[in-house]
Amino acid sequence: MSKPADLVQGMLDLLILKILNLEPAHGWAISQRLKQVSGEVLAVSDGSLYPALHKLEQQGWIAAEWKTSELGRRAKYYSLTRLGRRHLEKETASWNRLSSAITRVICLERI
Amino acid sequence: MRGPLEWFWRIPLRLRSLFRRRDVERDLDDELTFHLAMQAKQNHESGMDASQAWQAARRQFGGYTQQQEGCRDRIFGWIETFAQDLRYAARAFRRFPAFSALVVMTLAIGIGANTAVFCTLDRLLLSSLPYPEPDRLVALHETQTGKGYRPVSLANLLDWKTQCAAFDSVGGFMTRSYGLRGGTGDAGTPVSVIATGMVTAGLFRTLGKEPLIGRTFTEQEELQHAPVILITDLLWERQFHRIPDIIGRSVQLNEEPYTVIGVLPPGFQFPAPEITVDAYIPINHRDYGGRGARPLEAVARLKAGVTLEAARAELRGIGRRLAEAWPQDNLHGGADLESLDQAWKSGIRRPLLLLTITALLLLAIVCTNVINLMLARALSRGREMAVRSALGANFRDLLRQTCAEALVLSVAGGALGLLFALGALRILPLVLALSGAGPSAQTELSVNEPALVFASVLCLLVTLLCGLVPAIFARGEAPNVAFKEGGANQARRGGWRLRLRQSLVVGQVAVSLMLLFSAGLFLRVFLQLVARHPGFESAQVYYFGFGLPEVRYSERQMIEFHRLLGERLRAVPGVEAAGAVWRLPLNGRNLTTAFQFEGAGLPMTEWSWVAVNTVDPAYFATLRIPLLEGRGFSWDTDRVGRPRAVVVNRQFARLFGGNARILGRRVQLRWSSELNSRSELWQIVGVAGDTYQEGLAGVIRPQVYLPVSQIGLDGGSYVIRTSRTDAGLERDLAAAVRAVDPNLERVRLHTLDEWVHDSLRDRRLPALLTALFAGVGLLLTVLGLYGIVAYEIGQRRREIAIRVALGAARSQVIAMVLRHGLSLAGAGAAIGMIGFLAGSRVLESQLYAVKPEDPVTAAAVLLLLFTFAILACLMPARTALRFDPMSVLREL
Repeated sequence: MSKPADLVQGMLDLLILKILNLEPAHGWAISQRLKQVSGEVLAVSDGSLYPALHKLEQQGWIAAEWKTSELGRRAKYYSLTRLGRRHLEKETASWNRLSSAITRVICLERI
Repeated sequence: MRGPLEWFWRIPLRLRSLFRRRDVERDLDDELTFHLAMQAKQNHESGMDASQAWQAARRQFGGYTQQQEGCRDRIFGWIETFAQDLRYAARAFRRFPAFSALVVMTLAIGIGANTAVFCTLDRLLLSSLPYPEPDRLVALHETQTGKGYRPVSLANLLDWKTQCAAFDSVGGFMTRSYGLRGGTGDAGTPVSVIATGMVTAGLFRTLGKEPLIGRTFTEQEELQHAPVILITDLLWERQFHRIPDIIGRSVQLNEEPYTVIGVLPPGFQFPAPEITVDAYIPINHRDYGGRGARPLEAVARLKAGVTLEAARAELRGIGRRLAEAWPQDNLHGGADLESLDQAWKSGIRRPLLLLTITALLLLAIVCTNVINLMLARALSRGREMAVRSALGANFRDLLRQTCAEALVLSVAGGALGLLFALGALRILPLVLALSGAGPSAQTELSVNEPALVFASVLCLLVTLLCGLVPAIFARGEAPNVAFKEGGANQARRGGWRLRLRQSLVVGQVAVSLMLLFSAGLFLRVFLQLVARHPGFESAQVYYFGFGLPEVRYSERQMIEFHRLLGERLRAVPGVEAAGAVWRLPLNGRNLTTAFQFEGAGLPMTEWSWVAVNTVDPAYFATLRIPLLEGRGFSWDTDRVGRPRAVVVNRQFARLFGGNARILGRRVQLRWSSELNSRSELWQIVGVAGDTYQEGLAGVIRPQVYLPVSQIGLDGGSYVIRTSRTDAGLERDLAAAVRAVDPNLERVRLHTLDEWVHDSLRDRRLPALLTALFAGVGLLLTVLGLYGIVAYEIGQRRREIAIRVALGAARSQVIAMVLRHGLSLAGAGAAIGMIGFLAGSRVLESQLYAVKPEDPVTAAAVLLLLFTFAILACLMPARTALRFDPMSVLREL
C-alpha cells in the first residue's frame, strides 16, 4: 500500500480537474480551495501543485490564460478543456467504482 | 490515454517552449511569484508585518528552485533540453576556437573524402547501365580453348544471331578514326579527326535507344555499306553548332561523302564511359566481314523470360558447332556471354573497392582523433562534470550533453566536408585526365541525393561515436575527487581511462601504417615502371597524327607520299630525323599478325603470332632504337620492285631464332595488301632492340617491322627528333605537310615524353590517391600521438621534476619521453603490420611485380613512421626539459 502522500499525489490531477470544473482559477486559488474543501486533510504540499498543473497543461486537459489579478500583477488562470472534462468524467467514474468496492470490503464484518 | 487530439493541443505549447524559452521561463517565474505574493498578503492580513510576511511565504512555499525545476521537467521535453544543450555546446565551442576548428577540419576531411569516394562508387559501380532493362543485356565473346575471351568476328556474330533463339537482337561494334569534313564538303573547311563507331544495324535496337531526331540505319543499308552516318549530340553541337537542318546534310569521312540521317540523344554512351565515340556508320562487310578477322565487341539483348544461364548454354553449343563447321577460322573456337554490367564493371570493381577501404580507414583515423580530442577536453572539464552530477545529472543527461556537442561538431564538419567533396569531385576529373584511368570528362561526378544521404548518415554515426565515448569516459567519476584536483590525476588511479586513450592512439598508428604500406607499394610499382627503359628515347621527340583518304591514295601513292614528306620534314631546320610509324610503342593495343618461316609448310592456323608495326626507315634512328644485327630499312634498297624486307626485334630472334642465325632467313606473313599478297616472302635484314609494345607493365612480344617504303600506310603518326622547342616548329612542319598534300588534317604536335607519361596513368592514379590518403592519415596520427604523449608528460611532471632535482641528465628525460611515444608507436606498428598482411590479398591483384610483403617498402615505411613518431615526441620532450623543479614541486 503506497504512502498517503503518494496516494494524494496520484489523485492530485483528479482533484485539480474537479476544482477547475466548477470555475477557472489560478494556482493559489486552487490550493486554497483544496485546503478549504477537504477540511485541511488534503494539504497538498505546494511543492507538487505547480508541477502537476503544468503537466496537466502539457497534456491538454487544462488551458491557461493570463489575466490581471486583484493584486495588480498578472496571474495565470487555468480552465478545463473539453478533453479535460471527458477525462474527468471517466476518472471520476472509475474512482467511484474503486472506492465503493474498497468500502464494501472494509465494512465486512464477516466473510 | 494519449489520443491524436492531445497532439493537436500540444503543438503550439511545444513550439513555444522550443523557440520562446525565455518567455516561457518568465511566465513560470511570474506565476510562482504571484503565488508567493498572495501567500504573503494572506500572512500580512493575519498579522505579520510586510517583510516577515514575505519570508514566511517563501518558507511555506518550499523550495522555489525545486518548484521551478519540477515545472521545467513537465514543460520541457527532451527535445527542448537537447536544443538547449546544442546552444550551450555551440557557445562553448566559440570560446575555444582553436580546438573547435581542429576538430571540425579533421571531421571535414574524413567526411568529405568518404563522400567523394561514395559519389564515385555510386556513379561508376552502383548505378545501372543507362539503357532500358539493362539486366537483359549481355556481352558476347569468342573464346579459344586454353585462352580467355577474345573479340568477335562479324561472320560468327551473324551466325549467332540467326541460330540463337535466346537473343532478341544483337549488335557489333568497333572503332576507327576518320577525318571529318563538315558542311558542304568543299575543300576549304578544315578536317577534324573524330572517333567513329562502325556498328551493325541491330546495335541501337539492342541497346533500346531511339535517336533524338532522324533514324538509325537499316540492315539493308548495313549490307550495302550505304554512306550514312549517325552523329552524337555532342558532335552536332561541336562541329555543326546545332543547326536545325542537320538531317540529310552531306559530310565527308576521309573525303568520301556520307549523309547524316540522325542524331543520337544527349547522354547516349556506348560502349563504356571511357571510350568516346563521335559518330556511327554501318560496318563495312567487305573489309571486316571475314570469319578469321576478329575486330568486334558484341552485345545482345535476351528475350523476355530467358535466363542468363540458358542463353549461355545455348550460345556455347552454337560456338562448338561453328568451330566444327569452320575448322580453319574457328580453330579451337567457342562462344560465351556474360552480363553487360559485369563485363563493363569488372575492371574497376577491385580498384574502387580498394579506394573505398582506403577512405574508410582514413575515416577511422579521423574518428579516433576526434574522440581523443573530445576525451582530452572531457578530462579538463572534470570539475564541471562533478558539479553537474552533484546537481542531479545522471548518465542520460551526460550522454545528451556529449551527444549535443558531438552533433554540433559533426554537422559543422559534415557541411565543410560536403564542400570539400564538391571541390574534390571537380578536381577529380582533372586528376583523372592527368592520369587517364577512369571515366572520360563527359562523366559527371557530382554530389547528388544519395551522396547527401550518405554524408548525413556518416555525420550521425560520428555523432553517436564521438558522443558515447566521452560520456562513458566521464561517468563514474567520484565528485569529491574530481573537485579536489580538477580530475587531473587520473593517470594514476583511473587506469582504464588512460589505457583507453592509449589504445585509441595505438589503433590510429596501426591504421595509419596500413595506409602507408598501401601507398608505399603503389608508389614502388609506379617508380619501378618509370625507371624501366622503354627501349627507345623519348626526349626531344615530337609526334603528330596523320590520315590519308583511301579515295585519293593507292598503295603506290601512299609510299610516294611518305617518301616526299619524309624528305621535306628532314629539310626543316633543326630536324635531325623524322619518319612515319603506324603505331607508337606503349600504345596499349596488341596488333598482331602470324608468320611462318620459308619452307615450313604449316597450315595457316598453326602459324605463330607476333606483333607487327609499319615504320619509316628513319624510325629507328628517330627513336634511337638500336639495331643489334644487320641493317635497318632504307628508301633506296627497300623499295617496290626490290626484295621485300622485314626487321625483327630481339625477342623474336630469341624465341624463333634458336641457335641458327636469324638474319637472311625469309618468312611468310598472314598480312597482305594491294601490292603484297600472302604468298610473298620477306627477308629478315636486321634485328632491332626490344621496345614495350603495349605498355611498360606489359610483356615484350616478338615483333616484325614492315617498311613504309614497300607498304602503304594510310594512317598513324610521324615522329620528329629535334632540339627545337619554339612555336615555329609546328608551323614549319605543317607547312611541309601542306606542301605535299594541302587537304589533310591539321598538324598537332605533342611530345613523346607526354605520350610515355600518359601510358603510365593506370599506375599513377592509385599511387597518387593512396599517397594522399596515407599522408593525411599520418598527419592526424602524429597529432594524436603528440596529444597523448604531451598529456602523459604533463601528468608526470612532478615525477620528472623530482628526478631532475635529484640529478637526472637531460638525455635521461628525453629518453623517457621517447620511450613513451615509441612504445605506443611500436605497438601500433606491430598491429598494423599483422593487419596489413592479413588483408593484403586484396592488393595483390592491383600490384605489378611487387609483392605485398616487399621488404624494401616495409623498411622505408617503418622508417618514415618512426621518424614522425620521434618528431611527435620532440615537443613534449622540450616541455619536459623546461620543467622548473622548484615551481612544479611547489604545486605539491
